[in-house]
Amino acid sequence: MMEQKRWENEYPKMPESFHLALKEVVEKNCGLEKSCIKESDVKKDMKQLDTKKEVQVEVQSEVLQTDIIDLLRKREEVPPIVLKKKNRKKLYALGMAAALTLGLAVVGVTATQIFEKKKEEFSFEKYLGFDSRKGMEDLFQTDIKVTIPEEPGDLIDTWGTYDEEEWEEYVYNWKAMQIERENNKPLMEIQEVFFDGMELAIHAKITEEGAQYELGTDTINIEQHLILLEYGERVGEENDMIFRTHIRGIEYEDDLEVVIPLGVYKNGERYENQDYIFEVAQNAKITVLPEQEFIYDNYTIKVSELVKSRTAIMGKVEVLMSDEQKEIYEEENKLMICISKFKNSDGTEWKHINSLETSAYNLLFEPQKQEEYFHKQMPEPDSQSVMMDVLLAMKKSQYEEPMDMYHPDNIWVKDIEISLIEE
Amino acid sequence: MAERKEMDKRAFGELIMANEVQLYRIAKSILKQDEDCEDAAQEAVTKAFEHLETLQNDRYAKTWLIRILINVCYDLAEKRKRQQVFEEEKYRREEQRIDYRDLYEALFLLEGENRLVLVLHYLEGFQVKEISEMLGIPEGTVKSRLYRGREKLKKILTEEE
Repeated sequence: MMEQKRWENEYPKMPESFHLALKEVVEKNCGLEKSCIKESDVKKDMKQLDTKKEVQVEVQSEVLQTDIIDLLRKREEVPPIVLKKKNRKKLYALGMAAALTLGLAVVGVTATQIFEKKKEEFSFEKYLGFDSRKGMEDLFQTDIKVTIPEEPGDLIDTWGTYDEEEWEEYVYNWKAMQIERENNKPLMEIQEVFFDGMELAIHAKITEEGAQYELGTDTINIEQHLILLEYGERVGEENDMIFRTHIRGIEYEDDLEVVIPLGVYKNGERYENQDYIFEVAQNAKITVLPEQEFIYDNYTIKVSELVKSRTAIMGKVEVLMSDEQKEIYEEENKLMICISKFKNSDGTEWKHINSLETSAYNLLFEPQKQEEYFHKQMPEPDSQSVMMDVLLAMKKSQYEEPMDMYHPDNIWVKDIEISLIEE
Repeated sequence: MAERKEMDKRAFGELIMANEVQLYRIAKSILKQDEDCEDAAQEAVTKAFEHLETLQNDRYAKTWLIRILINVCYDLAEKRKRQQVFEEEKYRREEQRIDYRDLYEALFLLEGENRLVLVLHYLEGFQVKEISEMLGIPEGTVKSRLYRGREKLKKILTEEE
């Protein structure tokens, strides 16, 4: 099971040598006759260093104490909802239906948050990144007939790693952990569904009954496939929740059958799930587009796995080189990376949607990696082409500022025109 | 004015020590060897002190320091990777001496980018927005790395169990 406890238990503990190394360099840099850190002034117990709690510091003078406290307090000045989320993660410790080992998507609210906060109207389309629904009204579905069974459905072994006997035991134990709810009143109401053929997003509102609990899930069942949500989250100022994922790779013929296995928690206890079963109409068409290659003197840019919906494109961009080209390139540039940027001919950048983006950071570890998956939203529905820039190397690496991947000094392959028309 | 600077340095020093566990754990998400974590932390702290004047708002002192630390760790990791080519056998032997728990070992089977955001989010409790600011990447990218990292880690751990 996950979670926070497992992280805390299994993550390596800070050794004394690290503390001493840090202390030494801090003292040196303080440049004071008297050390600005005295071991005796630091109230800490090395046995407790594995906890998440920050070490409390006692400082030498009142003035300094005020300063430090102020500094630390400033760090804690985060909105109440953020603090609540931190607490929530601990409550999720019992794990999700098929989440055998890991932490959960951060989804959930409490009654206090819902009813005491100033309410602002939530805009589903804005959340999804659209200025309006113009031209894609049919992609937003409001007539959703939801069934909530008395008993939640069976667990599904996502990874298929248990044999039958082990799985039965697991399910038995898992069910035993759950407390029965007093009633089966809906904990949330599904308001709308957005489906463009690739992306599925569900907007729900927590009911008054649901506000008594913390709600969350990181999985969703679509056409008998249990898949992870990319990220579920409470959104807006009201009691809104969003479940969002992509269904590429799942075969379906007509409407999609969807089940949200909603996890229910309160005061650190796990209650029985509440399942939401509904169908999503297949109003949207996706188009698989042909591979496209752009050949340059020292490399070739290849765009493949290209799929287009009415509102977005997904695909993969690669930089292909011969071994000789690659060797020369790496000598000159140290790092071989690939980041793409999509825009209209007037320069309007296409928004990044999800999950498939890669960036320089992994490539520092994988200098040979020269590909990027992308998922970009079209500024206007059903675009016929898009301009792509590709960053092949990053020359700017700064310490004091975030890495500027888009710095003009970086090398770009500019203005490759990708056709989005089916052959 | 000079007095304020001195106070800032002292305050910053205290802030560093107050967050030493967090600094260690973040460094440890990028560098496996404790000695490297110590080197990186010392270098990052030195750089931070050198540029303390450029810190406009004390509020961001901690995330600013973490950002510097992450960059130093990445540079050191890159250096180690190059050294590893020449000292591969020695390096491997050193690594094998340490018996880490499953979760940490599994973390190192992930791509560095995913590993770091998982540690920042699940272990250190930073929010997506904070991580985004810290790493200088969009919030969507942080979310996607959390998603992919979580998915991969879950698979690795499940297979091990």
